[in-house]
Amino acid sequence: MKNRLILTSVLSVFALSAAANAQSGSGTLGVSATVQGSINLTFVTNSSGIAVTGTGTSAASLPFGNVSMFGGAVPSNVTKTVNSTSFDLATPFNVKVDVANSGSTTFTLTATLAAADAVNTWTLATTNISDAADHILTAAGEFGAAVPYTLKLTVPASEAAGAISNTINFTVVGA
Amino acid sequence: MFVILANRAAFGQLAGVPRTVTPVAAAPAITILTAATGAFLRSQSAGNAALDLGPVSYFNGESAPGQSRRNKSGALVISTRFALKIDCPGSTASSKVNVTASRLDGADSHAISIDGTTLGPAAQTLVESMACGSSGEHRLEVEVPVSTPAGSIGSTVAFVAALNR
Repeated sequence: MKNRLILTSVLSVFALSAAANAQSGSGTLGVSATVQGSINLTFVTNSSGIAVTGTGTSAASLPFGNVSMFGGAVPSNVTKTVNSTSFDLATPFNVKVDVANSGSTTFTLTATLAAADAVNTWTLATTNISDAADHILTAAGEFGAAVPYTLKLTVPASEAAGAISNTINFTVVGA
Repeated sequence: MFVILANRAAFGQLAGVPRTVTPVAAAPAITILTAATGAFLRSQSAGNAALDLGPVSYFNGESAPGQSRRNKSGALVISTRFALKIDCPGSTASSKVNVTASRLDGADSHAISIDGTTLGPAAQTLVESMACGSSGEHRLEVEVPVSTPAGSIGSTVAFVAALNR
């Protein structure tokens, strides 16, 4: 009886040993990626401004529609100011800048009119950008905040009737 | 002890009758493969492979072939597919394995999930009963929070296939 117990124990050990050595296999999958920091700028309709076409995207437009110095309808949320030799059209819109995977805490926002305009005057906030040069709108912008900027277009009374169109490029650099 | 082991009659077998030898099942072998619609995997050695998702960005960039990406609130998620093939040398055709997966690293810069299960250091069941000799595709997702600093990230996912009893 004593011998049988001993033998049983020995065989059990062998069986467990076989299971541990031969019943499972393994493999590994290495996963890697390179995370790049990124910044995103979007234009958003301001509650007091005209609807931005493409709001929430980085390619938007501000359609003032048909306007005239005297009379005519003023588009909703557009402020028209008649001066002695010109008239202004102004409306606010929001610029929102977000950041991901970056150590930047602030940003510099620059605006550049695509084509210089010697006839009309394009003003962003208080900055005249008509010369198509780079103009810094803010040197320490806050990420994640929708900041309002007012675009003012000054049209001289001497200008012939017709379409006015231009593009403002915004550039953000994280700091 | 020696006498008992040498005498087959002592184990209930007839002396002189050839003993049937049952093959001992070897360890299941895992092969990690590129899925038909997944990103390319580099096979490094038997059972080991590497997946490089390349440059990834929350706001910019497009997905590399075999990958898809989506932005969720506060994180970028890159998805791809891969295949696991299990072979069980010496096992019967009906043998099945239980496949588990775990992460060998503890980096909190990102999360990794397979088929919707977020992986951690503890083994989690990936396939409960997978037929030996078969292969199956799985979806791997890497989630990178926007708070993760730019730079390289990496993890190792370990798979274990155990023969079901």
